[in-house]
Amino acid sequence: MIEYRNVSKAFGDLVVLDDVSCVIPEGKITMIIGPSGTGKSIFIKLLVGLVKPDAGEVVVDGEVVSQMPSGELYEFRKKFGVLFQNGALFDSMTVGENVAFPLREHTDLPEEEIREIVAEKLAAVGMAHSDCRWPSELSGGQRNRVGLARAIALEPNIVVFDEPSSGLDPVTADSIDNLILEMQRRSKCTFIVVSHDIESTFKIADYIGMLWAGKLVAFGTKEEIRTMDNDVVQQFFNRSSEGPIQIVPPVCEPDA
Amino acid sequence: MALPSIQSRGLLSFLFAEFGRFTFFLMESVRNLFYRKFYFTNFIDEMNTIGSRSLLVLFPVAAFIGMNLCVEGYIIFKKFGAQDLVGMFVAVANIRELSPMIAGLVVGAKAGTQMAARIGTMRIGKQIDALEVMGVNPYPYMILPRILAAVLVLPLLVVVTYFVSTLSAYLVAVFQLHLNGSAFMDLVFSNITVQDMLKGMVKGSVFGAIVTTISCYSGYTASGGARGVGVATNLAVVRMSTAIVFINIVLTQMMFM
Ligand SMILES: Nc1ncnc2c1ncn2[C@@H]1O[C@H](COP(=O)(O)OP(=O)(O)OP(=O)(O)O)[C@@H](O)[C@H]1O
Ligand SMILES: [Mg+2]
Repeated sequence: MIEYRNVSKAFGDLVVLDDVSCVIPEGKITMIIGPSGTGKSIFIKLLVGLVKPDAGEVVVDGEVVSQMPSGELYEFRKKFGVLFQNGALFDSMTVGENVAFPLREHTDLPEEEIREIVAEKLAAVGMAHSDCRWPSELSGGQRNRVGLARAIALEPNIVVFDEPSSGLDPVTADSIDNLILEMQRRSKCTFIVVSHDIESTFKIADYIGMLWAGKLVAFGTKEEIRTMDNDVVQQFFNRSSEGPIQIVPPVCEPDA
Repeated sequence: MALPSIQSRGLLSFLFAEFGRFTFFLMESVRNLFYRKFYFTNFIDEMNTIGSRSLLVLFPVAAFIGMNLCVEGYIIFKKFGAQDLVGMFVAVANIRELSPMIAGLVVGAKAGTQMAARIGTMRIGKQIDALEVMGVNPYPYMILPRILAAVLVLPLLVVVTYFVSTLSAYLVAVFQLHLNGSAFMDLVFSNITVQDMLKGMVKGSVFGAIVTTISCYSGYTASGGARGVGVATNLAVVRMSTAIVFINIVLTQMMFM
């Protein structure tokens, strides 16, 4: 079980998350949505212990992430399969080596078996026979898909995807949506997906949480959120630039 | 573990914060010396990279330094009519001072900058985050193999530098300055001890540790896109050359005074 308890995080004067609390339902797809720069990626980094909260705690299966000593933290992270924004593939390794990496690190499987799993995962994301290519030769969408394959290689209990389809054409984006949906239905794992694409959110989400101005302004099932009478949520869903969400350019301090 | 970020302003507080971050980095590196897993392949790869990258540059640099050392020594000693003693000067200055320093600086310039840029790129591209999230501790995985490899390879490079520069000094002494070759070699051998050799190698190891630690640290704490990688590489060079020159004074005082 994953629970955020009154989590706050700021960078200097910039308050990114302010007293955020929620319980992420197990075995479901939870989508975290919100405008750019509202802390969706930070929300995820808090979960896997890459960022420590200033206040509050994130609890996973009864353990407080920010209180784990670093040795335990590395063990703990094996529960997760994480896709970072833009894939974060190792550019010194081929596609195949990237997907094999978690298997080589954390299992004693023989080499043939690893190769089989790699082929299977790559096929599952529509990237079969690309194991000899280098990340630098791939398009953004292909990189995301390899990142997906790497994230699920160890069949983790909790799968976290940060914007798996941002910057992709609608057809590729939809194929990734289908892929996520299918993977989740098959594995029954807890999925947390960050997105700012409304269409894909309604297509694959079971639960939706919306971040805005440091707050989790809404959290509930897809139906609850769809019909929610909240200006911020409605503005976001209507893709309107008029409403409480305003595009504020980042402020530059004069002496910075 | 994320490194504490620098948020405060002002030079003094910046220096303190930077010092704190470096201390933290150093402590994490030392602590992970005893990590349950040793990445042996990475270690071998790094030894190979450091050795093969640096050797090609080390040969000419060592040769030219040896030649110059001989000429300069000759000019000074000739004033006292003691030009035949130049072999002694070459031997001592070389093994105690120049060879370790040259080897350290060349490894820094070749292998160190590459480390800073590689690790910096991995930091910027979130590859280090990815590594951590996959349950792999980056210190034993990519920092320690580099530092340990340098600690092991540098003494060998010091010896190579020593032989190449002494040989080139010998050639200059015999063919340009028309000194007696066997007298030159006698002086070289009678003026270096095994202890001097070992101390020169120890210096090399220390420089190796410093150069790689600083390079890795500079890359590891890079931030801010492609520009950040450039800054990190630049910082690595400035920091490591300053550190080598300074530590060399300390080591010479400790070892030879
Ligand atoms: N290491 C950091 N230091 C300082 N500020 C940071 C840091 N990381 C993130 N921020 C700031 O925190 C805010 C939230 O960042 P985050 O990456 O979580 O946004 P996001 O919601 O994922 O946006 P996007 O949809 O564009 O990916 C941003 O304003 C960003 O500038
Ligand atoms: Mg983000």
